[in-house]
Amino acid sequence: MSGFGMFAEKDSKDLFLEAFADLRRSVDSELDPTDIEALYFGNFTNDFFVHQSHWGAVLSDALGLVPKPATRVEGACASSGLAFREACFAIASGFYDVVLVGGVEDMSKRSTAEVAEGLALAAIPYELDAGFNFPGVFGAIASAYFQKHGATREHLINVTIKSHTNAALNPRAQLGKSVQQMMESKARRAAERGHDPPGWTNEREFLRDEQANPVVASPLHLFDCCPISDGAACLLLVAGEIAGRFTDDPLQVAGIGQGSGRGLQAAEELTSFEATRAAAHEAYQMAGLEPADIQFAEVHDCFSIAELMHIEDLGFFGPGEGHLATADGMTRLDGSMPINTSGGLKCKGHPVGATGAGQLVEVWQQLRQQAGDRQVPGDDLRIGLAHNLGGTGGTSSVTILRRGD
Amino acid sequence: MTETRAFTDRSYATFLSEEQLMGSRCDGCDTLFIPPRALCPACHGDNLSWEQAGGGGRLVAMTRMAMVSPGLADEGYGGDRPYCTGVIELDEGPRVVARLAGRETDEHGHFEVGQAMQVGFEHLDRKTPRLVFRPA
Repeated sequence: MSGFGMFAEKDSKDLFLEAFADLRRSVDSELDPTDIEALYFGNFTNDFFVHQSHWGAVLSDALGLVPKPATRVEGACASSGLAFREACFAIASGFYDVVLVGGVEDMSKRSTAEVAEGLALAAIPYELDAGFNFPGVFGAIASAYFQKHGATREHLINVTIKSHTNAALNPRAQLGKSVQQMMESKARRAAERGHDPPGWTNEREFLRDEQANPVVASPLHLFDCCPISDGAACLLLVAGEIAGRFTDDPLQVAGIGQGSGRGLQAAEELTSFEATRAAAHEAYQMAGLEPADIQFAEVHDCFSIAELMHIEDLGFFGPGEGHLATADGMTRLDGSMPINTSGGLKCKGHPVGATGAGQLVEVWQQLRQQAGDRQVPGDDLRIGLAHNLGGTGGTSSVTILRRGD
Repeated sequence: MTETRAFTDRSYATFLSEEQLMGSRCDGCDTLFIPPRALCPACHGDNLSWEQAGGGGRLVAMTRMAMVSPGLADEGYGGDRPYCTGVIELDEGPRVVARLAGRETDEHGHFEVGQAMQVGFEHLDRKTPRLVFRPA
């Protein structure tokens, strides 16, 4: 993957080339780019963000793949999760043996309000008419979750602290500091300017401070929301029988699933995404696995409340138990079910069309014991899951990767 | 007189401009949809009839928006002047999303999820009235 962040000097082509260079370095045997038969990639709305569409032609030229086919897949923030699934079908059908699959988004050239407007293109029209944007949609969902399950903002704060703690161990995270480290640098800056030292004595107090962590869409505050990101990520997907040409340690796609869902006005429930449940069911069935078999997961934490819902919808915890499990530390790196070891969308970054592919890169690194300081403990790591979500739960994909037989 | 307008979002908006909250009921399976649908997603029947909602409901989700889209910023909303929007489950069953009115200036109270709400139409300086729900 490329770096995730705000890069004034880079465009989508530059970012995808950076991700591809990283991919080439990670292939154990050398990858000859002329072996790549097709490109599938996710991109949500560069049309809006940088006023340029038709990225297939641009990327295939930049990568030297012309005249091989390049196909763009759109599923809002789940675009590259969907691209990965289409690429799996292309290989599984026997039509191709070597496919490059990824995603890209270039968001930072617009103002924050404009980015929110662009992302809101993935909402349901009725939601826009009622004045919702995405922080608003997830804020409303959080209010329903709080009421139904007796959770509070303190439970969201647990998610934020965990995301930042993991990101501090990820050199490629966009927001790579723990909350404690951020507090210390703010205190240092205040001292340099001769201001009174801030009064927080711990991470929770910092996150409760309305000045340090202002409200965006109640009950969500700034630190409940992922940042605006540019970035790209890609993976090499090859037929099982030729994987040995590239590595002695390939990962297998054990299961893939995709589902659709409805907006706030028609969804089955406000505190669960039917698209995720359908995608997870399909992926578990294909893999012959149960939620309890999954050893760690990257889930689509566009907002802190979303992570609590996903870990329930994916079956890791029962309905309404996600906030309790998180409070008990079960989703931490050293917990029984590590979630978002990368720092998640919240801290690793969320270049929307690249996010699904970026999650799979994290699962790949973890399964190959290449995640450095944030490596999930234990040498029996074999099965990881990535969950990608688009819109108001309108689209979801779930991918399960397995190492060894 | 039987209402003959097409079951479209355009018709829904036109009814709202006439201060009526309207939906469609499936003749086949009796499910009510607000906003209206032309094809029943439950039984796939396409014989539906217009029906007006009573306007009462319950707030099931809400948020107070401090970061607003450019269009709403132009209307004067923002961090200093947030607005509230939410999801209302109507007495008839369907849910609608709508702006909430009547307590925008209440600094702490917001609206309580679970409270009874009643439909309203806000005129302000807009040409067409805006669908809102107020505490009942």
